[in-house]
Amino acid sequence: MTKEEFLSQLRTRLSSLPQGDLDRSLEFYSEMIDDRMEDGMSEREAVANMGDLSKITEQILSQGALEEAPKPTVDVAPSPSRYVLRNPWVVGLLSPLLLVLWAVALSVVLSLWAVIVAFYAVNVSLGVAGGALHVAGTALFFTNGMGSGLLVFGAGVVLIGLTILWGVACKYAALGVWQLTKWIFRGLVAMILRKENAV
Amino acid sequence: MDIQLKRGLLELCVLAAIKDKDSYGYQMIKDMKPYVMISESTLYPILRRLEESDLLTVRTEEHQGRLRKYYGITPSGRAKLAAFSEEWKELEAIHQFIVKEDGLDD
Repeated sequence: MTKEEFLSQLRTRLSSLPQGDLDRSLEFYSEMIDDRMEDGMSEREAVANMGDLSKITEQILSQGALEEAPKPTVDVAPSPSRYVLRNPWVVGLLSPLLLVLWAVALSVVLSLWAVIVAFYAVNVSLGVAGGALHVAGTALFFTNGMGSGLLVFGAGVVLIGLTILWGVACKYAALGVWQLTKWIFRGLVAMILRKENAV
Repeated sequence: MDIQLKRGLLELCVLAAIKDKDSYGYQMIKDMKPYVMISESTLYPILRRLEESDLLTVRTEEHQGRLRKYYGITPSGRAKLAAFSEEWKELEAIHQFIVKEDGLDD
């Protein structure tokens, strides 16, 4: 195979690479072949010395994937981690303060969740009221005439709309409180324990 | 040999090949040959990685009417080589212990 043929085949096989990487790879192999020829090899010999094209391609392409992934240093498998107590003296001395902090955090979190429960309760009442107005509206339509029936029915529709909107708001509020709860408890745990990678 | 270990060692070999004087790809392969065989397809990703980690720098120079890339070691590259010499002492001690445990060190 000539140098031109080699480079052209390499180009085709590496076509999935970004242009910059592709050019760099081709320049590298081109330089390598030229240097071998300058050292006295024939063109074909120099190309043959580059090795198998599939292997070259595979190595360059897999390298791309490796660079995207975090570089492993010692071993590929993540080492197991465990929690250990921070300086026991400090934790011991601060324990009254820590207890208070825990109690305050717990009450804050509980009150927030109580608000969320109340939000959902409002949502349920809105839904129930909306449903009831639908039924009442339908009944009034036949007993008291079209005007009052439609009015009550319309109010029911409005309430159901509000229920849906309120439900969405409740969902996001609950998600927010959930994140906050996790954050608070992580912080509290981190005051006492620290994560350590086992060797 | 464990692939990660070998890769790490080859990176150090490449840094060692340019520690006294800037060099180019084929010259590095030739310089390393008496100690370790390294192919172009292995060298290329290593050079890329070392460059990205700022352990070596690359410059292009004209050579006989064509372009050739020269690689030079950076201060971080030198620091890495120095750190390895220190680590090697630890490894040596571990090796001594392993051999002794196997009862091979007589």
